[in-house]
Amino acid sequence: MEQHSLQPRIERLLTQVEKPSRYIGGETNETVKPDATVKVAFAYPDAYEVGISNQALQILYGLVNDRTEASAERVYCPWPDMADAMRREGVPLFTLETWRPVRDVDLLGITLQAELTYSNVLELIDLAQIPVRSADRTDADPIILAGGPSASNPMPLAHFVDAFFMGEAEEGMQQIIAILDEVKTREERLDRLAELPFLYLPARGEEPVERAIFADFSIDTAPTKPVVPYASAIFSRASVEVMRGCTRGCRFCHAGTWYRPVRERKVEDVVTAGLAQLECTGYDELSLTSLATSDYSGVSRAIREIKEVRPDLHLSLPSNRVDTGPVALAAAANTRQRSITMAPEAATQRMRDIICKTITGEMIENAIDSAFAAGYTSLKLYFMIGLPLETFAEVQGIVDLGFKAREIGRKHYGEGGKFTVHVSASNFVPKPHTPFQWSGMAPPDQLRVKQDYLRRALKGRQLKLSLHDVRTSMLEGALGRGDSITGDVLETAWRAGARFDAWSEHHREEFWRDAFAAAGRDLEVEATRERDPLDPLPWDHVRSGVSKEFLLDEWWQSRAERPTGDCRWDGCSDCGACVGPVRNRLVEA
Amino acid sequence: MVDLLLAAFRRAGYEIALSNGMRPKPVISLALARGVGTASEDERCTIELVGDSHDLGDLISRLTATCPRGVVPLDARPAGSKTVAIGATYRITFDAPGELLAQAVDAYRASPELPIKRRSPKQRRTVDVKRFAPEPQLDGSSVIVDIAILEDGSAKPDEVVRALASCANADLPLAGVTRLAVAMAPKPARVATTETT
Repeated sequence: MEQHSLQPRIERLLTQVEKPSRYIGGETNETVKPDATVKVAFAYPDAYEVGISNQALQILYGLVNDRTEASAERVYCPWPDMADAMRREGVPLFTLETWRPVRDVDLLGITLQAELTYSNVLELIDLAQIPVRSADRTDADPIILAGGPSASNPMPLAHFVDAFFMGEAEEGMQQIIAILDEVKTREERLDRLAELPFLYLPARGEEPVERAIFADFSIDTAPTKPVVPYASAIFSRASVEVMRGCTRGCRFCHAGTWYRPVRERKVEDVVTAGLAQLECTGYDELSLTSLATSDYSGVSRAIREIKEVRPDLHLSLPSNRVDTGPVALAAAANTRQRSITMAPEAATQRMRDIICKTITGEMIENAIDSAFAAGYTSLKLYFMIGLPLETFAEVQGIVDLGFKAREIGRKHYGEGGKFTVHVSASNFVPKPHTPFQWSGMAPPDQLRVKQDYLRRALKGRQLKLSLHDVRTSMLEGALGRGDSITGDVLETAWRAGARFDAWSEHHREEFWRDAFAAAGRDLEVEATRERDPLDPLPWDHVRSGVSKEFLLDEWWQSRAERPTGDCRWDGCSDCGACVGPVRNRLVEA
Repeated sequence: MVDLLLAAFRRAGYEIALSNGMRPKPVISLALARGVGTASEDERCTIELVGDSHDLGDLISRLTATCPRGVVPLDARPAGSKTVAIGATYRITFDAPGELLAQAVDAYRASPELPIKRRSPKQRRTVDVKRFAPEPQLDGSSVIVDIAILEDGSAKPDEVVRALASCANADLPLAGVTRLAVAMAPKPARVATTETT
């Protein structure tokens, strides 16, 4: 690494922090391009170990470095111990590759994967010694671009971000870099960027902005050289995205709307990219990722062909449909894995019809039975509570299904058998661009009563229960459907000390309550408030491709407890996502 | 470090032997764990590779190509008989006036014992740092210290730092810790206890 003036100052800080390896860079497969004319820094607004596992950032990092003349470097949100030390010593936020100040790049791209990272977005910008509000920036500052799924409602961050990228950035990022190469002043750059249909620039008004959809899912775009983390990461494995989009139509699911239509990658490209990644990373595990990998038409063939080359490989298939077929697939793919996850989301047929989770109780029980029969000893069942139209019968259903799963486990392993049924119940949080975007969250007291009931009822040998913090769920709900006033709230809370809100040890509810109150609002009211379908929504100018009429129709269907079929197999439901050449594209099994 | 080395060996094209049992794990071990934030110029790793024999020169060059920045393979030897770490030498660099540091080192060396409280999630106990690290040497703004590993344990570099600070009766801001060398010795044979009748 080239010596930079910040190096001795950063090295001094490393002795003062809990995990220095978060900041040293130098990992296998990192790229350094010192002579690039356009410099980009990609930021993940959470700790290194979370951000390094993010596939989207790895895709963009590889794409910019390998396919353009620009350089891309990385930065993650410094943990509070490091952030405090940096402020104390006046050390600006720096990139991992060259330890150069982030404020010196042309473009700072921040990925927004979750609302609870918003305070860290402001933390990153401030640590970079860049004015927090876009309006205060000058030619000396980089353009700040935000993208990712949470950018679909850009309004809470509209004061702080210069431009929002709507949708999939594989093609659009190259257009942005070309503009940054051509023009150099901030105003000229913003003027040119405003011409791109997938960018929303808050300073230029609320013009309609279209989600970019990446149709070309070829081998060239699958990352083959991901950065291998030094420090332990939440996922240390190679991963290939086998398809993008899901048309199952779960009414709570943001990704199920935002990434339509379904585009599957060719099996041979999946195999080539997976094997290439294994070779250049040294990982002994490969994950075939997507929103529902067992729905991928080529999944059996991909598993077979990869296993032919690497018979001992751990091959994981996350996000599978709850059914016997996917259980058998997962068991065949990874013979050493002893833990399996299923997400029925709701435990009664009524609620599954409301949320459009088209599986039956029989399918769930059969899937559990085949999991234990296949030798799995840890079964994780994911549910949500607080869903629209929920009654207490649905909560009781979670208890009943937990005990039923234990009964099935005992059939295989005996009364005192060594297995665990792990029930997880998260709190429903309505998301923009979904049929439930108009629904409010359940009031916090009600969620706590339901959680208490689950704690009391789901007790016993071989049973475990985990629940989500109601306070952080409420904040997620209030931020996710927020407007520009929510942005003022965000800044007030961050200035009071809010950061790392997704981490219970750092989340401080009082900062947020006070900040909402200072803006004349109430956090709980914002989270629990039902929106009138006739009222405009803060994100109406963002066109996801799926029409508002379709979402509203789905909202009514949920009230009629009627599921809608998957357009891959049950005919088009006219959601609006398929336009011209962009439509569901499946590969041969 | 273990994960990093495993990945580097795999990238270099080596197959790593697995342990026996229900959950086979790669056969690899490091001679001496290193504290978080401690740099190192000497790491010793024992690893079992699949295959009858390996050219060690070739191994070093292949591994050099696949190790990440900052990790440099220096030497490779057949593992032979088992060895254990019996001590390590550290350079501890301070951001403190030289005179204060010299006083601290003198006072440290003159002390008959230097009890330091050690807290871990499991236990709290007092460690006599002097027993394990009796003779730190001043070297500019650094202190070079040998820390022995005895049958009943060892001291940590940060405990030496705390002992020096208590001798100086002042704060000694730390600029960095580097492990310079690890001392190895043949592993002693297990002493069997037998009953005689």
